[in-house]
Amino acid sequence: MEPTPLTPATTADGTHRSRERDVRLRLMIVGLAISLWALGIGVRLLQLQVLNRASFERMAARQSERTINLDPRRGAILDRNGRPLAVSVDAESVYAVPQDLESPARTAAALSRALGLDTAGRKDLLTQLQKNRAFVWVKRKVDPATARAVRDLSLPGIGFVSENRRYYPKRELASQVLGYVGMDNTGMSGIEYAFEDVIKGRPAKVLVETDARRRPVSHTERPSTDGQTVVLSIDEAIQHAAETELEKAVNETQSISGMVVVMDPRTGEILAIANRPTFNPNRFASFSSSRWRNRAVTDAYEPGSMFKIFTAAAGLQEKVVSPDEVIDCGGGSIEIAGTRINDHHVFFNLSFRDVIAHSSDVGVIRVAQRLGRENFYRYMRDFGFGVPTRVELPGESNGLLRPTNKWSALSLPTLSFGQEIGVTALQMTTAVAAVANGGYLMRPLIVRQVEDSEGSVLKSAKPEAVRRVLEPETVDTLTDLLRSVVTSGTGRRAAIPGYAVAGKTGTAQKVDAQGRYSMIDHVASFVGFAPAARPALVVLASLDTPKGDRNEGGDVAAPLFARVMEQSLQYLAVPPDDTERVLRMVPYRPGHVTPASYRPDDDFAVQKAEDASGDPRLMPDLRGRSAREAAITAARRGLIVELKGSGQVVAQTPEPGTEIETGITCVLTLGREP
Amino acid sequence: MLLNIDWVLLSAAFLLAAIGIATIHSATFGGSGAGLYLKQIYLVGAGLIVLLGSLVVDYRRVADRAFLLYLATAGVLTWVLLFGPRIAGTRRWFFLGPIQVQPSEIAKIVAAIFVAKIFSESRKDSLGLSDIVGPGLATGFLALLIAAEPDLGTAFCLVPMFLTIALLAGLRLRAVLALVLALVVFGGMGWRYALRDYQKTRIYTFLDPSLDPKGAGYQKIQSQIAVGSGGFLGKGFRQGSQSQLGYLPARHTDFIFSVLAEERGFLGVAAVLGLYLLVLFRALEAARLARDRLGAMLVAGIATTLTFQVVYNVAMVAGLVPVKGLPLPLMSYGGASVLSTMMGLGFILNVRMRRFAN
Repeated sequence: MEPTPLTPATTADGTHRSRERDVRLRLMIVGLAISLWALGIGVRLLQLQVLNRASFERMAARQSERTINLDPRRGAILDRNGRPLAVSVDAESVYAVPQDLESPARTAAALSRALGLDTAGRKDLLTQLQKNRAFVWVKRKVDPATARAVRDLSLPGIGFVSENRRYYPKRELASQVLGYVGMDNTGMSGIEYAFEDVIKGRPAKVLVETDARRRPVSHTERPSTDGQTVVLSIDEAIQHAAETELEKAVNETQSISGMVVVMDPRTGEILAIANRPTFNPNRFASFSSSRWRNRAVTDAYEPGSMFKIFTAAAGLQEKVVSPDEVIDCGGGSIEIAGTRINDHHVFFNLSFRDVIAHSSDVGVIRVAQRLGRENFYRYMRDFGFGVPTRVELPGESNGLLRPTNKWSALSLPTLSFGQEIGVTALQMTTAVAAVANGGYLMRPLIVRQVEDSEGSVLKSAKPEAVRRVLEPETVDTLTDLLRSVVTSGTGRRAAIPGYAVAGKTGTAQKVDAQGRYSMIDHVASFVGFAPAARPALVVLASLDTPKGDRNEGGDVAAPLFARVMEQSLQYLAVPPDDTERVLRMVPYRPGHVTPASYRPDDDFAVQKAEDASGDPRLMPDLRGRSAREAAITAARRGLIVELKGSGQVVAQTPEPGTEIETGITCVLTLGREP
Repeated sequence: MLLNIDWVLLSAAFLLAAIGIATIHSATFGGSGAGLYLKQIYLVGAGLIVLLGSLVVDYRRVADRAFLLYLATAGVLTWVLLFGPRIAGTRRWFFLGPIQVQPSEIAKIVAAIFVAKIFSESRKDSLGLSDIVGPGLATGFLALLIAAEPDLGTAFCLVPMFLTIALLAGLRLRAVLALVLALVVFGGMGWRYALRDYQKTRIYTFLDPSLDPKGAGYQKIQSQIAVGSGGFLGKGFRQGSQSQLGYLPARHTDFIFSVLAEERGFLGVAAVLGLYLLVLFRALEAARLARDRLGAMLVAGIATTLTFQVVYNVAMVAGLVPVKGLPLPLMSYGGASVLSTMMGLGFILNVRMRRFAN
């Protein structure tokens, strides 16, 4: 059968055929268009699937896997004897692979119960679990009990990785020095912040992916590098003494706040910085942020009469005054540029020694006037006031010392007794250390050395003298004057049996709301050093706004100074000045510290502590150690040390490991190792 | 007469439907839509009945009622637009008891019948622009109703259909070019005044998908990753990470081709495209063999609509054109698409079957 014509047969034959051809032609155009498309698509698919396959495969892999960075183990922060102050402990983190959850809602409910989340936390968790992602955190750094509870649920799509978190075993001890670490493992203040680059380490790379059976697995692509260890100049025992005594003093006097700084004047090493009120860095968030600040470094205050030390130093060095020269103290007041300045006490004629001992304002004004502005100002700058000490702690304040062209007529007289100037407790301590060590202004040191995680030393700090401020003769005279403050002046309560103490009280009136010096509120301070003739320690103690009847520097700060100083001297086995007294060393036995919220899994903290002290009732093995090291170790155990010969310890009685009692004699025979 | 059924076209079409069902099975395996492939089997079965139904009645009898069909369709489309339930921000459907009906899918076939009928009655050898204004407006009205739902993809399907039938009717090529130009201009104005924001976003992200990887460009990127990572041989049945892990959106409907490309690779894709080409060229063959202009135009119109959908969907999957909600005929899951495609194929077979009959 022939095909019927495409069009009704009414048209002429020729037209009909041409129309038929035309339709066929046009159908071919359509066919051609389809073929062209097929070709185009074919080329495109070849391009996608064959030529660029690799890059698309990578993209596909990238979204079904996820690489996460796991925080490295932060380096420890140790005290000068290797006692741990901040350590990192293992903590598990829980994550989820949302695509593999059986039911986000049920999983979220079960997890919330195990993790103890509230309604809001649970809602957040559910939102996370409903995300179309290969990886979300459920909760990071949970404690072992919680981790076990979550593990016991054995939920599909829930996995664990081992992380670590910061732990401060000594809780509040030196917390402002150490600082704290935020949830993302970054140091937020103190040493943790200042040495972040050193402590942090390099993060691990962990690949989290889903296996064929839809279970999350993780494997480490690159292990982390542990952070480096920072060894502080802080001595835990001295810090502990400073903290406990400060705590007691602040409570007794109901002061708003308080500070104690202890420094070795010979090296500028900071042995303790205590601040009250304080905080526990393990739970930093539950304390007011004002407590996180190391106010001994970051805050400036008026030192008051403590500052007379430097007026006296300048006067003696410039020889405008001598200790026994009698000075007219004006019957308790002096008029300068039409303003009357009243002394806290009525004095008439006093020797310069007594001016210092009894802290006469008028007396030191006269000395400052003899010095003149420029001279006086030069000494203040030389003692380091108005410029940062360059200690390696964050947020250091310059203090406030105006240049002489900004001074009024009253500036020189008021500066001479410690008003119109702002100093930090650390500046003050460092300046007094310059008197104690024979005249050198030292740069305060807080970090002794940086070690890698194996304990080899990478960097160690050297004592750095910034400049020579005083001549030795000046130092001797000034020390003598400061001795009389303690023996017969305002600082009698700073005296320590057996040791000669030099120092100065300070009772700085606070500026009240009206901008005038308050008659009631003040900062009570004492700064000094001991033993006076060969100073081993400088201690500064300041109490802000102590209450009570007798609350001046000599009444409340001097006893605090004395207690911290005495305990520290005994701990360091510094021989007393009084040769009649028996040297009795007090070994440091830290009180039991309850771990804050987390018991470390590893025994890192415990081990280090035992290494440092050992069992105090047994004789340690001192052979092979240097004479000095051995003597200090023996002295810490309360032994009286007798040395024979020179060099290293080659023999000892009692034998190592025998039971000892405090007060027995220990004979160490020294010699050169072959 | 049944012997004249194009068994090649029919088998190719059902082979595609079978591949579609297998791919739906793979795409929805283990998820909430795990049973959908069964439903698709029933749908294809129902489609077979629709196909037979549109095959038994002579297309000329149907075309005689083209005007009535047109009015009914326009009426239903208007009614849906005014009173249809709002689903996902659109009014595309109405319910006949439990059955969800999408009138725009039927409208594609009706429009082809209507336009073919009008042009087949033209006596002119060569048509100018003025000759197509009437049918153009009529088709445009349907397209407008569908676009207003909004369903731009389906609305746009009517355009190539109309142009192809007009071309066969003798519209001068110059006029075709002029129309395309006009479309571009009106498209530009439509962009300015008529497109919704989400529609604009889709076009923007088409131009640079990385602008918004989790937004509108997300689908395009995921689809390209799926296709690209499939490689030459594919990852294997139910092994595609893109589809199995749920990165690929609408994977059993509009993006079914991505799943195929990921799991079956270039070879599988080439085979499926080959089958589509076979179906389309057999349809063009049917148009060439048709006994009259009406048949040729009707077949060409339906074939063009199918072609356009396949072209657009595959191009969309390959990341060549913006993402639009256009299903892949025969393979995508979805009742309306399966049934209207089967109906269209029924008419193509209908015309071919009657090429000898009087």
